[in-house]
Amino acid sequence: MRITDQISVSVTAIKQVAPMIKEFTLEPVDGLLTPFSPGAHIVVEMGSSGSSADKQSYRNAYSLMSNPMYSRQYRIAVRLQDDSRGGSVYMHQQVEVGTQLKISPPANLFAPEWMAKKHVLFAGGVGITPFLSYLPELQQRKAEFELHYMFRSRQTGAYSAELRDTLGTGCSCYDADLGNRCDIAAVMSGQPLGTHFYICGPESLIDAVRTTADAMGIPASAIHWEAFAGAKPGQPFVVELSQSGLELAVAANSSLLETLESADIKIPNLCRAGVCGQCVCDVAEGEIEHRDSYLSDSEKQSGQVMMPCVSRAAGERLVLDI
Amino acid sequence: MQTEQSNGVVSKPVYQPVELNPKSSFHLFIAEQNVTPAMQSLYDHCLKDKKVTVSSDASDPELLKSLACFPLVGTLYLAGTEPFIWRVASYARQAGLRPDQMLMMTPVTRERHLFCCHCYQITEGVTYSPFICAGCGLSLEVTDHFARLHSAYFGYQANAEDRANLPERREVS
Repeated sequence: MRITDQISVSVTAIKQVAPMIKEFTLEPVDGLLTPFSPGAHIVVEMGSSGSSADKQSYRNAYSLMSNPMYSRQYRIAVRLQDDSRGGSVYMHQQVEVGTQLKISPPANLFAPEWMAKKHVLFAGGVGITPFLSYLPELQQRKAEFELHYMFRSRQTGAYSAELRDTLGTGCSCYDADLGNRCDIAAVMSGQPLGTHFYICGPESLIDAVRTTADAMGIPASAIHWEAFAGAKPGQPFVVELSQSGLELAVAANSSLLETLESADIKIPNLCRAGVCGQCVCDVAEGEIEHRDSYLSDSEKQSGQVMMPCVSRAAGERLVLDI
Repeated sequence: MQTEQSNGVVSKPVYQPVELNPKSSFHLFIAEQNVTPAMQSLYDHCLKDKKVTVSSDASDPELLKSLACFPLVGTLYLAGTEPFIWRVASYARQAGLRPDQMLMMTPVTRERHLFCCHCYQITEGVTYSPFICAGCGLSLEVTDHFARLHSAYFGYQANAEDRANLPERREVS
């Protein structure tokens, strides 16, 4: 099996775990699932099994939240996104028990730093998911950790009661709908040498923790984050592929990568969120709207490369050198 | 006989000019034997909580104690020979310091420690290549492959196919 080969799974259970979050249990159609490490994610392909040629397909990355030591099944949690391009709506409205989906094998861009003396985890909303796969291994290794879980109980807040029960004082919950806020600076100050901080949640939370760390003089390399925001919609544009002369229309709510894939053009990719750098493409012509956090500022300014998973054309046309 | 290195591994550290980290609230200066003028200047300009430790031995208990009680928000400055700097950095790493909170000043000499891949001995004071291994006596090609955990450069038999025909001696910087 190549690392990019997809796996067919079927949905064996669906659970509403918060007003806006559903949990899906996935089991292989045949064979066994591969083991994974804490923090790993899979890319789920949705809506591609229909016969209609213009049927929209989606690929979204979701953290595996099940115990890494138990790989008979995978579990993911999906939040219904307000500005969804369709992926989370599809998962919430179309997927039923028995539905078959295609998933990528697990990849990990958010593994714990095992050299750490202490782990401080900041989760925002559905950003709790990667930490659910951290917890069994942190506990098995008897690692020192604390979990700070921020949510709005009218929308998110999945598993908060269970986490408080099992972790006790190791888990602090902050329900913004009850007016509880996490004082990030208070959590971060006075932490011992060798502490590493992990953030999974909205960009505002990632920014808040990074800004606080910078102001306090905490080394930047002790801060780790996973942005779970994937491609966002934008203006439609046309992409031309210089080597084949092929022209494709990128719709407002499709990413460039998805458009290329629907034309059977294989681009290596892992995160689909502008982080891992796998899908980098050479650009021959056209203005780019860079939305990734992988390319350096000088690479972005050069206008010669882009990450098609999240970035788009700034104008109406783009020529890729592929 | 070629004198250029034939192996492509270059992990020789590059030392940038060191400045005080204005974000840090604690600054620890560790020097080998003498505080260098460059470090003295940094120390004098530092107006925050600061401490200086001078030791000829990277495993000095006093020095290790100052690393063990080092704060998460501190910055460590290191001066001395390259092996000393990296040995202290290795202890600091074990204590939990991150690489970006250890600032290394340009080593005071260009002398290298050389790790012999045949007898595993480390030869000190190496300034040219090939260099006779203090352990087994072989003439070692001195590479730019630096082992951060051993604070030494990797050395192997020069021109192993024909040991009688050694490459010309060249200075290593």
